[in-house]
Amino acid sequence: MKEDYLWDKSGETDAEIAELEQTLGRLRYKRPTQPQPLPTTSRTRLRPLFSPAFAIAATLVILLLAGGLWLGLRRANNTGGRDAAAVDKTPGISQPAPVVSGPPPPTGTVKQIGDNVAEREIKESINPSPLPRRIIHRVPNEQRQTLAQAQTVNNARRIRREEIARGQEAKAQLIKALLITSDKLNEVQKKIQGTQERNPIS
Amino acid sequence: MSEAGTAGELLLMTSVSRTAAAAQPAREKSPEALLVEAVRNGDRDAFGRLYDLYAPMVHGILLARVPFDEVDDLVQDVFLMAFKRIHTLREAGAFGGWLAMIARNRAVDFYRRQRETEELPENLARRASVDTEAAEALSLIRTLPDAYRETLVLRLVEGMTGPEIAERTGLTPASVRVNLHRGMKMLREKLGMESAR
Repeated sequence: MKEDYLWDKSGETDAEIAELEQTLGRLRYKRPTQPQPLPTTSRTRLRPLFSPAFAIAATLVILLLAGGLWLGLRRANNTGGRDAAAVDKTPGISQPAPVVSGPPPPTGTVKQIGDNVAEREIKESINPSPLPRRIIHRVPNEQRQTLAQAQTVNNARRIRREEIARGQEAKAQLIKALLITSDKLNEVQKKIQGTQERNPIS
Repeated sequence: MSEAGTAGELLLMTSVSRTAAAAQPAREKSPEALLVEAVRNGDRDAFGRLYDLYAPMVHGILLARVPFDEVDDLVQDVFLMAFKRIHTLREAGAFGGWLAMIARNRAVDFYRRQRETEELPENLARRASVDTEAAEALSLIRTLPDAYRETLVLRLVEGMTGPEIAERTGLTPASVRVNLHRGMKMLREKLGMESAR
């Protein structure tokens, strides 16, 4: 039957179809002598610059940096208090009353010493001593006495408050910058996901 | 042919392919499915065997849509794309239908990109070696609806039988049979063959 020839080339040959096959067969696929080499792995693909993984990694890095900076600022604030106490004890400074006195020399058992140290650190973090460390190091020895005489404990406290205010301002700016960065990264991620959903071939 | 018509026919073919793919798990794993799994496990030679098996089908699908001179490059493109995305294929047994869809999409993409760049005269890219008679017959086939021309090209140009076309493309044998007979009838009318009268 002629219809079978069209379907599976069986049965009686249809001359017209055979002629078409012969003519069109010249366009048939011919295996290239040198096929295109395959990429090294089936999973390699050109990633866009702002892929979701990149966005997440960037966010993590920024958060880590911010955390490190914040910890550094906090530590600087804490150590500044101890140095200020040292300034208070320098000769020639009029001291109406010591603001934060140094801890007494450790006495007693090991456990007690540990408790004292922990207690001191907590106190310092809650109510840190005035005048940060860098002021002491930056002022030359000749000027230190003059400066120390001029400064009262109130001045030291004021400087300390300014320092803290600046630190908090910097922290607020940093948090704001992080929020903006996070929003931008989210937007980019959404755009990428949208593009991938619009053009899938699978 | 309008783009809406093309999209409609592609959708029709997709749904048929999906139906065929859904029936696949009931059967045993075909050699093609095993090859696909081997490729996923890093066997590059297996992809070479898949290439040999499916290259005529991809060639035929593209030949039914794009100029002859572009077909060989696009066949390479399609297989490269398939190799990169083979891990996204859910059913290894549906490889043929999946590959056919990539080829159809690549053909659509070819015209989209061409429109974005520039229009070239029809006869400029025609290779001199292409037989005039064959080119004329092919151009007549390409005036037929998408589903008919694709099946006819696979049958008359690539020399595949109806069952082979169904197996490779993921279409059902009944669809292929209908497409072949209706397409052949229309082609005969266009060629003015005696059997059409």
